[in-house]
Amino acid sequence: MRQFRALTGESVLQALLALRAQPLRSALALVGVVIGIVTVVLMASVLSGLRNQVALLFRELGTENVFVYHRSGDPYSSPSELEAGRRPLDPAFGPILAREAPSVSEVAAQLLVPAIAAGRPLIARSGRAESDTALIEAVTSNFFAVTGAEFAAGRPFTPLEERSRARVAVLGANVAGALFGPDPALGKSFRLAGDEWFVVGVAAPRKGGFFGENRQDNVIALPLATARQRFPEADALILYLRSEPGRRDAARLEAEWVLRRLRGLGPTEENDFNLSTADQIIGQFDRLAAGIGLVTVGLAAVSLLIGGIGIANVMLIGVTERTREIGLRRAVGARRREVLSQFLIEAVILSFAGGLAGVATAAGLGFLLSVLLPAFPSVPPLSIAAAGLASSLATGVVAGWWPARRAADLPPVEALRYE
Amino acid sequence: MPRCGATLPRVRIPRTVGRASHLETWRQAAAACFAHPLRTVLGALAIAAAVGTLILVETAVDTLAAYARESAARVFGAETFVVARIGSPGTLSRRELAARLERNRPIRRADVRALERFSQGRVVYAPTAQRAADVVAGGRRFEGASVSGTGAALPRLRDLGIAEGRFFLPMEERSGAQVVVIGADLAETLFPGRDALGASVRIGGRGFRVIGLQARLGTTGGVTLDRYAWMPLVAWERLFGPAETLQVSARAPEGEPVARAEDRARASLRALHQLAPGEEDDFDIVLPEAARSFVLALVDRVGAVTPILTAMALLAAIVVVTNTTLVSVAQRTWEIGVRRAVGATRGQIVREVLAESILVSLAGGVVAVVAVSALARVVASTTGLPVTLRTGTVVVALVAATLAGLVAGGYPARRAARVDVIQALRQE
Repeated sequence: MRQFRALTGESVLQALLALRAQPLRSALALVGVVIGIVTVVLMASVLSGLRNQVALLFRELGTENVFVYHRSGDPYSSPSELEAGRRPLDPAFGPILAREAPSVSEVAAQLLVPAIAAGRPLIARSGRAESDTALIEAVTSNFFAVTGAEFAAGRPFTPLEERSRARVAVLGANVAGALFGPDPALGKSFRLAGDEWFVVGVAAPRKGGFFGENRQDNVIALPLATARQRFPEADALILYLRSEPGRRDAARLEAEWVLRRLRGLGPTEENDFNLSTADQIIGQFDRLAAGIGLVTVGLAAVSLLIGGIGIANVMLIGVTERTREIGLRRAVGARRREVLSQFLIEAVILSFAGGLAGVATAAGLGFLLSVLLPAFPSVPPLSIAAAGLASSLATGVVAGWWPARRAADLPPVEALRYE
Repeated sequence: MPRCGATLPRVRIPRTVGRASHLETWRQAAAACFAHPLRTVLGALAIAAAVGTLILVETAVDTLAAYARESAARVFGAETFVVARIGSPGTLSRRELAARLERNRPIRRADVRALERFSQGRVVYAPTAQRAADVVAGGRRFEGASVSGTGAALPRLRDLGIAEGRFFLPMEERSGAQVVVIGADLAETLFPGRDALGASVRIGGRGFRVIGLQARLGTTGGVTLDRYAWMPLVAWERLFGPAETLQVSARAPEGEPVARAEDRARASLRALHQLAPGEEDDFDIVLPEAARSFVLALVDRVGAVTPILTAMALLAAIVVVTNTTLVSVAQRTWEIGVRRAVGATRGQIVREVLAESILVSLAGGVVAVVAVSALARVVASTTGLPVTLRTGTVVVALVAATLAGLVAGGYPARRAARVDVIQALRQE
């Protein structure tokens, strides 16, 4: 054991000396590995960061919540042919679900108002600015609590405002900025669809999003009752069921049962509505994104492959140049195994050093990128950094194997004769 | 007596002595490459990997685009265009959409009749209106079929794949006969094991006779083509009321360019709507929106990142070739010394070193082209995708390989040029 350790220590020393003997060559080979590792680690970090942002977006809507909609897929995109005929959900379902499903503690509703009403686009106008990209939604007063929305200023609607169909609104962070600039939006009013609406609350910027964009920041939230009266053609209703802690799956099953009864479905008929949870949506997204992720990281890995070729090349050149040295060493008793491990260790040291440098560079670049472009979170998580180091090690082993074998297989007599 | 190590006096050597022709340069470079085949192969391999990814990505993007176009052509026909109130609603902002809705008039049956009259048979039109509805036959129900009212000319515009029976005739279109052509899913669900031809179905409470069956068309770009029920537009309007606006598919006849047919359609509709020469159109004419499948949108997004990745790969490959060339130069120091001593200029040495690195890189580039085209052929034969390796891509790849070689050889060439002749001659 001690012998093995002494031998390995000696080999490492030899390897370092050999590398130092040809500094430029070794440095260039190392640079190749650094380029490869930086590419792979940075790419993987960016993808992981973006994915986490998306997951955060959905988790923010409530991990204990069950979402109900009358179609599957994104409520904001156009329906598939098959589901185009489905009836939307009735807001009256909300209280019924809360009452009849014991695992459901409360139900909030969100009505999506189409951007074009009666041929006219919905544009929000404050005194000096207007927004034609704000999304109009009508929500129940408990929506903000159920979806864990935080307020930068003001408060959500009160049930009284809802009952009396008051013209009040809660603005998302971006809309408030667009309409009122740096001034506080609280207490001001804006015009929408010919009416004047008063701002009673401004939501804090939401966490997470797609490339830094979170839908909810662009939303003008109106009370459900008021909006239904004002925009009768809006029918895309989403129900948010908050379940009792830890009983989300039970809540989902109970909700399904109640809804099937409410929709009058027979025992053989399939659901004409869709239930989903944040985890489910994130899972779907992951499945879709896995493919792209793999392809992108694969492309990045080509750089690492090329770095490996560089290491192999340098090793081969080294073997050729030191043929006499190898012959001599074998002649005085070194075994094949020792020669092999000698060169292998050299290759591994080179590529591992490249790996360390690469991970450090990627971390630095990633940090810089995150500061300059907040939409691209790219600080390498520990798992990816470790994977980067591991792959640099693997590259060294794989790249160095064949040259090391060639060195070990050199017939000693021929090697000694080599010019 | 001159001291040892002093430099030789500068002697002017006429340029013609020792001057190598260009061919000689390349031949020398090739000799240098073949002298150390293993090194050369590895260098070429590195460049091949980098250039290969470049070609692969470009080809993949081109193939997917071709596939999307082909799918759309299969559904809509290659020379078809669409006249509609709003052509591509997905691309418009809220304000533009509202403005268009206000300005553009809905297209009605009267418009279609006028279009046909004005075209004098030169353009083929088929108006379409569509709604989801249930189709019932003898106790069985098919939910959410795409019930489409259209014109008798539709089979000339779209490949409907009528396997049995026939499409309805212009006569039946005019009278709004209660006949229907159904898709494969409907036939299977409503008439399992039976021949659906001649049977009757009920849609929206009215009876229709099945006069034609579509073959199984499958799914293209995310749209299932087997859930349709085609009937004359007049019959459709009898069921669902007049359509708010019609989508009119149109096609230039064989041999005529699409642009001319489009112009004719535009002129006809403008005349019908009595638009003055300077006024804008109050309708849209578009090419049928190729199903913007999720894949294509994805490709766009990935396509933004790939240039960076290919650049990094190319950089790594350049580093490998630089390394290789440096070693080659170091090993031929003596040779370089001799050649300089007998009159070769620095420029010649530089050119030769560059030639060597370019040769290696170009070889790698050629290998990449050959490998990817072989792969493309294999993929095309096994999956049937329209794999297209454009000549433009090949040219770009080879140019990139050459430039990579040039860049890679730059530093070694400079080092070779700066070799001190005396020192070089002293090496063995």
